[in-house]
Amino acid sequence: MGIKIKQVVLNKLKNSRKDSLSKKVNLSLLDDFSFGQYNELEEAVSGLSYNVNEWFPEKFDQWFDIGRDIYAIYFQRAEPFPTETDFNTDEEVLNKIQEAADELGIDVTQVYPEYFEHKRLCEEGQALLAEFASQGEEFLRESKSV
Amino acid sequence: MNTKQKVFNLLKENKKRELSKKVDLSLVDDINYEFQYLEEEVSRMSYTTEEWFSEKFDEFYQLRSNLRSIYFQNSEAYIDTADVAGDKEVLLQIKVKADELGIPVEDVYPNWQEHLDQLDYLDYVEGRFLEQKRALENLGF
Repeated sequence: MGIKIKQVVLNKLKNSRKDSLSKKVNLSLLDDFSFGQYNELEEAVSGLSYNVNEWFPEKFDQWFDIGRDIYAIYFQRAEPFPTETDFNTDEEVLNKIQEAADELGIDVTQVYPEYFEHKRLCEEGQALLAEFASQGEEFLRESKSV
Repeated sequence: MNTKQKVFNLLKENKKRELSKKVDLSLVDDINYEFQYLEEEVSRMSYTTEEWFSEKFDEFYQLRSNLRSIYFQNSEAYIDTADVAGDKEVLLQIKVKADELGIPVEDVYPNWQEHLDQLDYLDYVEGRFLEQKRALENLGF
């Protein structure tokens, strides 16, 4: 019985000594971490981890998809629009109709009722084509990539 | 107006109509786009240039700016391995001390292993960050 108590006391003293030593090591070394202890480090790494594993793939895909859609329409004719040549051809024909009507002394709308609207659409279309080309250049300047 | 004049006018109008039909047949067919079809096409162009492009380009520009800001201007100032260059050494010293004392390293620093794992994980995510940066550079960033 006496031996058992002695052993318990001895163990307790040993453990106290260990606790005391570990506290000393703790105090002397744990303050040396550059980024604080585990919790601070974990928080900092988790921000980078979120960026790399979630934010980047999502934003990169969105950016790339939009760029690809714009490129397809502006440079690969994914949505073919009338061309400058189409509008010019129509304008030439409209001018001929106007000349022929003038020669006959009749109003051009008697020959082609939508003459003026058609002419206006050609002009509008040409202006839109210029805007389209300018947007394509703006996109290329900004992307230099896709 | 007398009858003669009326008949004359009528003939004149008929002649004009006939002539206009001839012009119509010979020239109007040369037009590339029928009016209604052209109207639809121009309306489609108008939507693309005045609405679709602006919306998409703004999104494209904003996303690109955000990516550039984080990957090239360090706007988020994420931790990197240089910030914790000495931490592995400190962990090693703690382990050595604990071994010398004959006590488990966790008695000295309960998160010893997690801290070490976190440093390794930082190596990994930093590597991924740099790969992503290179991918952006290759795409003209």
